[in-house]
Amino acid sequence: MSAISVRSLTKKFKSFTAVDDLSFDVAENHVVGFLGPNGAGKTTTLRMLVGLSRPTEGAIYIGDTHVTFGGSAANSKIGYLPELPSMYAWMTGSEYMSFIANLFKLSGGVKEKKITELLKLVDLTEAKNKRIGTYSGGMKQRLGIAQALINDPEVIILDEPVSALDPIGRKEVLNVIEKLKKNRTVLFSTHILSDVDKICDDVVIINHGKLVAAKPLAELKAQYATPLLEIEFATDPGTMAVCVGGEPWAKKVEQNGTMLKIWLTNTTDVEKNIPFEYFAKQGVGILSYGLRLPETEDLFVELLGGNHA
Amino acid sequence: MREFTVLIRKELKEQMRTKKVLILAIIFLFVAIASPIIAKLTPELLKNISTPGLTINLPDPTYKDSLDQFIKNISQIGLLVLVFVVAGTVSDEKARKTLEIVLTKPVSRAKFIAAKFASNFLSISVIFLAASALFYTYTVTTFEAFSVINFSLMAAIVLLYVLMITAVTILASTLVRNSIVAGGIGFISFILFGTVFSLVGSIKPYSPNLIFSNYKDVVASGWSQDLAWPLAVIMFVIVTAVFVAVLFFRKQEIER
Repeated sequence: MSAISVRSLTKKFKSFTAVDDLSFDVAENHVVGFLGPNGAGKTTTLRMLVGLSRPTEGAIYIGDTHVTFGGSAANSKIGYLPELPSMYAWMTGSEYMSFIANLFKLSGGVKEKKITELLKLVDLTEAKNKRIGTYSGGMKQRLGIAQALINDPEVIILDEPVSALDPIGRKEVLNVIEKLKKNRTVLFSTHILSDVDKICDDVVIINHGKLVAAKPLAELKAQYATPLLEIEFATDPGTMAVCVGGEPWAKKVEQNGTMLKIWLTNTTDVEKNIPFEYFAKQGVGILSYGLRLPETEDLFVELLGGNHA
Repeated sequence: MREFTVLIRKELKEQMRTKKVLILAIIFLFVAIASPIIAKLTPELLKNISTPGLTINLPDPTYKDSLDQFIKNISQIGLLVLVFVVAGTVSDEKARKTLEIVLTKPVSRAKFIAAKFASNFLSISVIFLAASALFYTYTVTTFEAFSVINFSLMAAIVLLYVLMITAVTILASTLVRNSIVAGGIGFISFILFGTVFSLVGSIKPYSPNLIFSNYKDVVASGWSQDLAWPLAVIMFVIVTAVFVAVLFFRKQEIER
């Protein structure tokens, strides 16, 4: 059974269709990156998944539980962190965790143990007795993650969990997410595509509210991402970019100073050393020459035609 | 039931920490203490401003003058402050997005809203009854004694009116996103209850504001049948406000 099933999900705001007949499944215990350019419908979809927004059409299942707008039947199975989470500023971090734990009917030693563990996990033990109103954006984000885990949810839904964080905070949060993948399903939206490469098993890509792809990341890269050849010359290669662009093995060329990036039509030509022989004949010193494995960003560009997140 | 208790405890704690309860307590207790003093001192003050050729003679003030001051101040300053303290109850949570995380927990929307009403009813009732007790004690020591039972009945009737304005304001706070607009609606409702009923002769006997013209009779003689319909209307408005707020909130999308 899928951890999350989305079937023909549509959301209309008057004449604007934010999510258009979207269907995908998320496998159990997988970390899934939910990607798309700005305004693609990611947040709207996630808000429908947790019952905050009413679908115009379609159905959502968390495990075997049907998500109904305004209902709370599926809520005990999920942990949700909204983008830029807002919590009661007058509470301390510890009080907020206790309040959320009480809503899940946790009590006594179990509750205290869980709160202590989670605050330690998100590195907020020292700040637990400070008012949330005094927390930085990163601290709020980490507290938001801790509250999302209080009920040991089967499914964790995170909307841009690292976008407001500095590089160190981002790394910490990604480490937390990676630890979670052992026995939980995580669906998270992000603009930072390198993070997807680090921790995701699968990706769901949407654009204009429609599904573009929903597959294991490795499979998608193998299928779509164009191999990229990166060459660094000892001196400026001049107009070489224009010339290379006419070669049958070069799909697209980009020059940045002494650096040349060539998106290849396939890897076979590289294996036959055809590009290398071409550059060797040009008489410009080559400092480095290598084929880079396609990353999610390349995949994203390929699938969405340069319309970056 | 436990989730309802958790929500009410959170609401009461919030009212304390954000000083909402403190503001209301200060205003209502000030009214309770100030009303007998104003009633006592007004004739003295007027005597002092008498000029040659113009002598102002006023009868000695009684507990009824103190009662007049109390009701006037509660129905004006008290309700105005109350409306603007209560106005952000739901709309502030929507504007600040603090309800997003809570509503993705096993919390029914009906209980979320019901807890808002219940906690406000509870704290406002405690403050109002404390202020009434203080007023009664201060008035009987300053003037002559009068029936505590009849006064308690009058205080209970006025409290229901106060809770009605509270309920309408929380309903407005559920319907709109801006607490100033919610407060405005609560304040306008207070004026409307007074004017609409008095403009149409046939519905005048049902006006909730009739309790403000009959309170002296209640204190003097106890329950009056004339208050039955106004009280029924007050109760109807309270129940309807809670019911409509729950119904509306269950269908309300939490916008980003």
